[in-house]
Order: sequence, then C-alpha cells, then structure tokens
Amino acid sequence: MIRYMIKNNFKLMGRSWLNAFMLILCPLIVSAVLISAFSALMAKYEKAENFSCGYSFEEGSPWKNGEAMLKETGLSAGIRFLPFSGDEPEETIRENDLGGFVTFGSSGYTVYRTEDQKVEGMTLEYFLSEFVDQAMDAATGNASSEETVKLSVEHPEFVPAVDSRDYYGMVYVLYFAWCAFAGAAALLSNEKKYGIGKRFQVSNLSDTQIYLGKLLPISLVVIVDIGIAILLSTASFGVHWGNPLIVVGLLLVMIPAAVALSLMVHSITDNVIGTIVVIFALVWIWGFFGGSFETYMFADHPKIIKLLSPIYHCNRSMVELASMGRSDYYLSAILYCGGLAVGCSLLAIAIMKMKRRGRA
Amino acid sequence: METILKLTDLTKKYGNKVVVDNLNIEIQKGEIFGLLGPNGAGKSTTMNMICNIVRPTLGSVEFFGKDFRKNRKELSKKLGYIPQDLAIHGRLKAWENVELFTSLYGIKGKELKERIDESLEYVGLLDRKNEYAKNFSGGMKRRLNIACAIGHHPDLLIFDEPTVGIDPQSRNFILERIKKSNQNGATVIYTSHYMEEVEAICTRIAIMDNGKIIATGTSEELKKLVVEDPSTITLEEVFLTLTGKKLRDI
Repeated sequence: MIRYMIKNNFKLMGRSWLNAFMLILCPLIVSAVLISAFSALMAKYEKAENFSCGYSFEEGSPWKNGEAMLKETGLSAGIRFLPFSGDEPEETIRENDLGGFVTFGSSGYTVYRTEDQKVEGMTLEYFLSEFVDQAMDAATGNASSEETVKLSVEHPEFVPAVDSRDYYGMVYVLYFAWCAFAGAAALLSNEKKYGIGKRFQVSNLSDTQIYLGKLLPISLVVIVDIGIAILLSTASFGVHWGNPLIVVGLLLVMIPAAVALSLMVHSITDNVIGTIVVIFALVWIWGFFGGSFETYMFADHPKIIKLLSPIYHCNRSMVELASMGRSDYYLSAILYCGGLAVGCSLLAIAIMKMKRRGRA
Repeated sequence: METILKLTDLTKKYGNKVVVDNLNIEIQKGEIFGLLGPNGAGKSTTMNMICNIVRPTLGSVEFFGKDFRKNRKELSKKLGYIPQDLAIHGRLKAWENVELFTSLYGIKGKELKERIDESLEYVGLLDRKNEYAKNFSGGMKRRLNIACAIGHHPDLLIFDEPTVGIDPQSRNFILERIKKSNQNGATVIYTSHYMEEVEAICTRIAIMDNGKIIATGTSEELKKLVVEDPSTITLEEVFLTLTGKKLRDI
C-alpha cells in the first residue's frame, strides 16, 4: 500500500536541487579542497620505508651479540641503524633527524619516538617486536633453517598506506551521507507546513507504514546521490574505493541508519530546523572523533571515544578495505549502523504512536 | 434514517483547558451538516477527533455504529477529509498528488488510474493533470485539495473551510460539487466562516462556542431562536446574537 507513497516521496526528494547540492556537489568540493591541502602531509606519513634509527647498548646487554644481525635485517627492511651513546635519546633523534631510537638493556629494550615522525616510530616498534620474536625463536631452536633473519615491514597493519586522495575522497562522501536529513528537510517541512501529515493520519496507514513511507524513499535518494558522488570522485580524483560490492554493502546499511536517526530526532522535535541542528551537531562530533577532520590513524583521541562514533567504524573500514583489502572494522560498522537503523526506527515509531495518543 | 456519525459525550482537554465539552451530535445519512463557530470554539478539534487525528479525553466517535478508533482500518476508507490547509505537494503534478493520497486507501493499478482521472475530472482539473501543483492558482489548489480526498469514494466527506481565499467562481464550483457529492449519496460535514455558504448548502446547522453546541437546527429553526419572523434576519445576525460580538483572539 505504501508503494505509491514511496514512489512519490522519491520523486519529491529527487526534484529538490538541494539534494544534489548537499549529497553530490558538497562532498566532491570538500574532498577536492582537502585532498589538495593534505596531499603533502599524508605523503610524508607514507614514506616510512627508508629511514634511520639510533641505537645503543647498556653495559652487559646480551643484545650486543645480535648487533650485526640487527643492522643487516634493518637494512633489508629499510631501516638504517646508527650507533649512538644513548645518553639522551630524544635529543639525539632531534639533532640527527632520526625516525626513532632504541636502547637495549640487560633484559629488554626501550623505543623512543617523536610525534613528528610517528609512522617511523611505529614502524621501528613493529620491526623490533618481530625481530625479537624471531631472535627468541632462534635462541630456543624454533627458527627456520635460514641463517639470517628476514623481516618485511613495508606496510605495518596499523599504518595503512593511504594517500590524501583516497582518504578524504572516501571520508567526505561518507560524512555527507550522514547529513542525509538535509535532503529530506524540504519534504518534511512541507508535510508539516501544509498539514499533509493529517491526511496520512486520517488514512488507514499504520504508524509503521507512515514511517517506512519516509525512511525508504529518503534512503533510496541518498543512496543514489551518494552513488553518483562515488562515481564522480573516482572519475575526477581517481579515488580508489576498493571492492564495489563491499562499498555498496556498507552504504546500504549506513545510509538507512543515518536517515533513521534523523527521522527519530524529527519525531521528537517535530521541527525541521531543530532536527537539522541536532543532527549536524551529532554528526560533527562523530566526525571529529571518527577521522573526518583529522585522519583517524594519527589522531590522539582516546580509543573508546573513537569507537563510540559510528563514523569511525565506517571511515576505518572503508579506508582499510580500499588500501589493504581487509578491515577488522567492517563487521562492527555494519553491526553498529544496523543496530542504529533498527533502534532509531523502533524509537521513532514508538514516539509517533505516543504522540498520536498524546494529541489524542 | 441511518446514523452515519454519532458523537457521544465527546470531550477534549489540554491540561485544565476544556476545548471541547461534552459534545453530543448525531449525523444522519444524506445530510449536509454545517458546523459554525467563532475562532477557538472547538470546531477544528472536533473535526480532528472525528478523523482520529486527535484522541478524545472522554467520549466516543461512532462511525456506522462502530467505534472509530477500534475499527480505524475498516472505517477510515469510508471517510474523506478535506483539510483547511492546502495539503498537497507543490512539487508533484496534479495526478501524482491524487495518486499519492488515493493510494493510501489500498487502491492500486488500473483502478487507481481510473480514480485519479475521475477525481480530477470531478474538480475540473483533468486537462491540467500533468502540471505541477505549485503552478496552480489558489482556486485550483483548493479543487486539487478536494480531488485528493474523494478518490476512494468515501461515504462521509468532511470539509474544513474549503473555500478560504478563493475567487467567487471557484467558490461556486466547489459548493456545486459538494451538493453533487451529496446527491450522489455522500454525507457531508461542512465548516466555514461564510454564513451564506452554510445557509445555501447545509440541511442542518450547529453553532458551537466555548467547546459546546449552543444551538442546532435548520437555518429557519436557528433564526426562529432569535426572532419570530426568520425572513427579517440573516444567519450571520443569528450567529452574532448567539455567540456575541466580542473579538475572539486565540
């Protein structure tokens, strides 16, 4: 019965230029600006393959015996180890433009790294962890028959190789998809202004049908617009979106979640402007902690706050899927958005029923 | 006579404010029932309660002998509501508006297409069916507003001030259509501030004030409440006598 409602609401949304502006042009414009602005910065983060590191041994350190192997294995992984006294590691890093510093003690080692060369520091940590593991295996007789230790640290898992074009190209299309309500604002505003909602209430549609008659067409229009934005971002900036099926899978859950959230807030406020303010504030906060403004890889926000943001899960899964081909965050993004879509929908319908009773 | 609509002790309170106070009305099949009242009298709230947009605090709305709220799915198909607002989408074409609102009652496919043309023909807009509603004049929008409510062939039509702000030709056309709908078997509830309209088309009139019905009857009967010779007074004078001349700012 709501087929015609969905069809006509789809037409209404599609005939609004605001949708095309908000969901196609805006993400492309913002992406273009940020891709250009941060290309040099992100390129710097990427070039972590060849760098120098300082090292020192404390008196009597057993690691001294593996010094030659450390240097040789380091070189094969693109890390040149340079010996220093080890008195003041931080100053040594700064003065010699090192990617990091490691001091080997009697039973362990300490890694020093700087914020300026975060990727190099993380790469060094990763390298040492692998090196020590394999050295321990060798000491306990679990090593392979090869005489030398070979490590590959080209792209440690925690630092996906992604440039500003891919990162901002994806992140801003996703960000604007979360602002989907802007496109539906005209439709909902008209419904209220002209008392069109009364016609729906007089008809024999249930509150669930009335709700779905909005959720589905709005989601559909946003999916189409975002799909166009994705195609244009690929054509114009060469953004790599990875596996198209996986991208579509995430969008099919994420966009209804964004729309359901907006409709739920709208059912509470019963006011389009109020809803826009609440949604934009919420999406901004989620975007702030989710990597929309500062790349999530290098942001210093507490992990728990990042995890609370659905945008973080979506950004991270999309970026990692495109750059590494896999992501531990894909499932959590799907589950988070799916839960949000269902939860917000149930709440919105419950509020609609309560309001009808309240009015009533 | 078959009772189409029965309001029993219908009351609506918002907080301590009683908007509709213990209303009892029976409307018979074939009537054109006029509901008059100054601003804030409770007309719209009563209409909204009849249409199940607002739930009564007390009392019941019976439609064809059945409680409307409990049988909404079945009974709403028999009801056509023409709101005072122009409840149409300007960015939809005329036929799309009628399609949207007629389909809400389960009509689809070929039958829906026939009903769309029939409704538009009824209000004289068939030749403009492919035009966007936003380009229509006030009178055309009012007629489209009506077309959107009659496609499912309701037995009871509720008109909430359907002639506000339109030219005399459009008003005359709408009133003629209301009479024709009534002749075709529809029962009509009609509210308006235009007394001559109400007098011209309504078979029975109720005057409402402060949430209560203060007088009911035919135009003649209402006039006789005020003067002995009904030809010496207009319905508007009766209305002002019964409700007073004090401005109603709400």
